Amino acid sequence: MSKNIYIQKKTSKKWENIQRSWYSFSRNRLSVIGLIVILLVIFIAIFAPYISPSPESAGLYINFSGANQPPSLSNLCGTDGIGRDVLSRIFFGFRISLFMVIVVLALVAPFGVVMGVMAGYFHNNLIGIIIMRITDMLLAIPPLLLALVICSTLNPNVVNAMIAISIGWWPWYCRLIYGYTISIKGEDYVRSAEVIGASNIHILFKEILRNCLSPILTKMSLDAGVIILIASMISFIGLGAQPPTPDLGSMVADGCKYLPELWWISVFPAFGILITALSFNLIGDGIGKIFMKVRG
Amino acid sequence: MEIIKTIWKKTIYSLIVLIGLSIITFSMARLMPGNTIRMALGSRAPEWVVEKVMKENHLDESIYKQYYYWFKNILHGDLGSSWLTGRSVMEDIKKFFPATLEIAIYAIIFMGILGLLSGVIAGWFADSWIDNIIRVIAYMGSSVPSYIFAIFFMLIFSYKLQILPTIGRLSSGVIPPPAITHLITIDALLAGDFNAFFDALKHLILPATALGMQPGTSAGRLIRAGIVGNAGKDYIIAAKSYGIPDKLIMLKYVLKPSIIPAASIFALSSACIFVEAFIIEGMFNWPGFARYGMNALLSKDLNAISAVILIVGILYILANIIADLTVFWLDPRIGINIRSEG
Amino acid sequence: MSKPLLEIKGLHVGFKVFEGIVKVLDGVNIKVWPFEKVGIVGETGCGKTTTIKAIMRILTGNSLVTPKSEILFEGKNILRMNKSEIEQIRRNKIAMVFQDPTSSLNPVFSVGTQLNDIVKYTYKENKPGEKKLKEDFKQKIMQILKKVYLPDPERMYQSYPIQLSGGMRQRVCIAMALIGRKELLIFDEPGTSLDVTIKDQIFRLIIQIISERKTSMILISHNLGDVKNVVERVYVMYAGYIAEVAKTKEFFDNPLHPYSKGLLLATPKLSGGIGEGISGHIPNYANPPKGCRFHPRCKYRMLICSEKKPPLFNINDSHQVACFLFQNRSNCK
Repeated sequence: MSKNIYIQKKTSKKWENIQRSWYSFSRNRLSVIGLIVILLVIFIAIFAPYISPSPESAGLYINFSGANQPPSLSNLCGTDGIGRDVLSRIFFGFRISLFMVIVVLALVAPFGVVMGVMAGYFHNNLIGIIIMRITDMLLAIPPLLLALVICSTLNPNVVNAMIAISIGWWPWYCRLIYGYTISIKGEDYVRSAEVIGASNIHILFKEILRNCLSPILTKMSLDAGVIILIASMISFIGLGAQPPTPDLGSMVADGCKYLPELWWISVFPAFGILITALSFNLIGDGIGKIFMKVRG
Repeated sequence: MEIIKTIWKKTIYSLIVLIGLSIITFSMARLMPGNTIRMALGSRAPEWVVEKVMKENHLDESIYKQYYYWFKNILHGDLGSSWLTGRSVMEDIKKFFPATLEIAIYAIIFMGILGLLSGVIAGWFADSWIDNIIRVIAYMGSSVPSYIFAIFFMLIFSYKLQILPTIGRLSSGVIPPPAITHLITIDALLAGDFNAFFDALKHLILPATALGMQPGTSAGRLIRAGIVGNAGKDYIIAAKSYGIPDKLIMLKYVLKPSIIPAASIFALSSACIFVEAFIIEGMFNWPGFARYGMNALLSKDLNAISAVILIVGILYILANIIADLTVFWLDPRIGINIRSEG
Repeated sequence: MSKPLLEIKGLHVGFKVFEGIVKVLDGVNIKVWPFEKVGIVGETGCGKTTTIKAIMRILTGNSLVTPKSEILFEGKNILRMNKSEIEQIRRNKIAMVFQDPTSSLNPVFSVGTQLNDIVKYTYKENKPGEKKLKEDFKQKIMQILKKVYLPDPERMYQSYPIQLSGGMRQRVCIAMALIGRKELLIFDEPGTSLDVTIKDQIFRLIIQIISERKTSMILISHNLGDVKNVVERVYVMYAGYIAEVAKTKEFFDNPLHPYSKGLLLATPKLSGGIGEGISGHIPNYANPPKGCRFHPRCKYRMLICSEKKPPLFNINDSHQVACFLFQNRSNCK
């Protein structure tokens, strides 16, 4: 009796997963639109000095003769009270918004995750207890309020706003990962790795991260949208970027004085905030869907 | 009941956390660079006034002593006096809080209705044009901060259409009803004064809607996602196979598991409304405690700031508790696990 | 001869997925007569559950049923029925007990609530105009819970699925299927997720119910032993089509299809030996083999097997095989 042995073609699992994820993502037209818009915004932010019609508008620039002009061919979004081109300021404003989002997330996510893993692993130890208490304390206050208070304490500027947001934000990641760590810690495959002798830290990060990657990424992309909103609120009040720095939130605040006649000074920056946050939200949804599909 | 025990444990724990928080904010406020009293009172205040206020607030003593005094006062309900207004902070807050509460209540109601309606309709008609329109609106709504909504609404409804007012709680000339709950709409209804009721309502619409749009649309997205995710679950297919009509399945069997994740976020968003009110109340000149808090923040009125933070912290803890309770109530799996663990 | 209660003719079902269109069911033909007990046997993934779901019209949204497929129940084509007719079928004619009782029960509602709704709608149409009271429903539910031997029906009514053991959940699911006067009961691998002693109890319960109620039954299993003493006729399914159908005794005495033979040989016996397996595995439904879907694993394959799909050849009145080996033996259709 002959035996038929099937030889299966070995496809690279990782590449196939990436392809599958992209397929899932691309099925949502809205998420793809979000991705395109964000890429556009990133492009604008990077090349702002070169593509803005009036790059000097982003800095100290006064041109009273051209002030308060409605949108026209020369100034697509009009000019503001001092004569600066609103469109150029929006381009430079994207820089600040993206900068804030990237830096905050880059700080908050790794720090929060590391804290969470440590707190979970040492959760019967003093280390874990201390970490979780600090986390809970910071979580007992809404992040926006914490940011406002910190910003009013320190000198108002962009860097301090980022610090303020970061302080209030990392506990969420810490708690998320802490929960996962606790549940995975008891799992057999972690224990068996311990038995084999793999170093503790190695086990921790590899196994836990591998399982938590999807919620972390989803949360990061959704957070990006929220951070944009919070940052704009801080600048709107005046506790964030200071003049003449072009920040979308403070531009909206400046323009409030001129409402409703000179509507363009507020409306276009507001629109800038909208599309940036919106695109992050769309991407976040798409990413969330990928991991839902891959799991189920 | 075991659930009560767990909640009680959590509350005590949260209060400890709040105390820890008060220490942080207290130290932060008092370790700020610069002479804070001088900044609060302005450069033109005479030196002896500055010294007097410093003495009164024990600012010349060590920080531990300061904290001790402050804490002792709190337990007596004395939150100190505002450096700006000179009045007792407690009095100020008592005076201003109902106004913020009223906005918050209406904002939360609006949020709930908006979220439920949009989420359920979008989920029921998933992937159709209705769903797509609702989703686009929901996405846009959840990407815009409340102050931009406020500006937008003010432009359209107050300036262009002129049908809604932007300042204060009542139009000038309308006599406020006798204050029982200090919530003007309720008081007006209780007094039978429909004129005042509708006037107050008109003033409430814009700020409440501005506050509720962003969290409401976010909740709608969550609910829709929950419905779409749960509608394909095995137990729903099973329910269908037993002949239960589709409408009942959607409105009962799919909806309940779908609102669970949204419910806890909803509770937290409700607390965040109090914080966003800091900005909104300023814009609408609403005499609420959030506007008071904002002014305190900007003028570094330490006593007021600490008090405001405490109150918002308490509200947030309350919201967390409500969120937990709701999840226990809705999802028997969690409640039962707690019960069996004792 | 009376007409069959249920007749599935040429059922082709596919699903739209990432890889394209997955053609799961490739022409399924099944007949069930009134009061008859039929078994469908096949390995995991061969399409048994898909067939059943197609009958109840509860396939998922990305499913495609070809227009030429027919599922006739009491003469009417289920696939062409409108909303209310299908609801009638689900409430009063056919009921299904799913494979996994844990995932078939809504975790956030009590057992009583779910049963109550089923009862409410099953009995809704029976006597129009007569208002049914809540107590009547509750009484009916208690009756049903007692029928499936659930202890303490009153407490069961208030319980949530998470509080019940696997065996109890399975009984609750069976109870749900028994509400109303059904003519066909379908059991999808009952007791699969339970331990053997409980599974045995469940099987006994099923046999008792069927004999009491005199309904037709379809019993699905991947285990030949399950069906041997329970059903009157056996369908063997492989990769989305019927490989063989015969009366139980005749099937076990004389299996004809190479796959059926392999299945019987693969069963470990008390007399010793593990038994041989069937080499290879089920085909990729996105790109199924041409001709007979079993031919890549078949040791008797001929040239024609890779070119044409074998129809069901009649061996005798009740025994049919879908294999070209028996082409000459059959009275060809």
